[in-house]
Amino acid sequence: MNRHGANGDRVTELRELLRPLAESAGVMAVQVATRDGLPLEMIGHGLRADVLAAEAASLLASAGSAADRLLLGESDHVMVALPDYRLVCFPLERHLLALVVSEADAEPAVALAKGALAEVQAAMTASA
Amino acid sequence: MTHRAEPNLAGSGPAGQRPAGAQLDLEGELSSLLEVKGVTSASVVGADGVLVAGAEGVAGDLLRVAELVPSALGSSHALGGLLGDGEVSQTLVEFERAPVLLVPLAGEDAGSSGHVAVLTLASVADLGRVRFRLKGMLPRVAHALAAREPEHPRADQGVELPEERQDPT
Repeated sequence: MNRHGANGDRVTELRELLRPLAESAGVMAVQVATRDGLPLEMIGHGLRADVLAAEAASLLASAGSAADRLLLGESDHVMVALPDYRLVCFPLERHLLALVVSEADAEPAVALAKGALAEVQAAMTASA
Repeated sequence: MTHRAEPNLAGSGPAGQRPAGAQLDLEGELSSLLEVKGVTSASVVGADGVLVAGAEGVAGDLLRVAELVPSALGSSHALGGLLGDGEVSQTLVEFERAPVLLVPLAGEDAGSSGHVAVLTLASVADLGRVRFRLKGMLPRVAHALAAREPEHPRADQGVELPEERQDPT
């Protein structure tokens, strides 16, 4: 990834937007990826960014496809509950935000992530 | 190739009604789920997306909801593997107008049955109550499913081999 010039600015801005979320209680990782599964930025450790982006994109694609058929409206987010963690994927226009958080801290982290979505979307649109 | 089984749909009688003396009845258990406030449809779907049984309340299209299962479940399991955190306990897809909850059903041997309970809810506000009630009700659904396993084997069993791999003898 080119981290100089416009792309470097975007990476810096994105990291700054994601940092409060990444540093909130229980958050293991936060990632922004393209809707086709390429990781753009991730703050966190212990996870493979490429796998997380690919599977999160696949999950959102499934939800989007179902939304078209079910007439239930757009998918707001998809959450996978595991014994100790929750993985939450939020769709953006051409990107996605994935959040891995401990089960106990999931609700406040999801609320925080929802609050950050508009800013992340704006940053991605501005850099397009 | 997936063969869509003819599902058994409950809902023609009062929700939760069981024939006198009947043993565990999957449709009856699913109808009981409809009595939980906020649940608009409840079904059991194979991991391959085949609808096994369902009970539908005021809204929903069970077959279309069932189509969501294979891909959502596949990605959920992959993400569970990424985190190394054991089995997926629930997958929630929150749509604008209604959430859809996918809950893998336990098998008789404490492993997965290979089937998923799929519930559509009226609103996100119903999620907490429904999750709480499910803890007590889903084991009965799983037990009823196991009781009719010969009719509906595990979704990942009994797959036909492609012709070129079948034993010619």
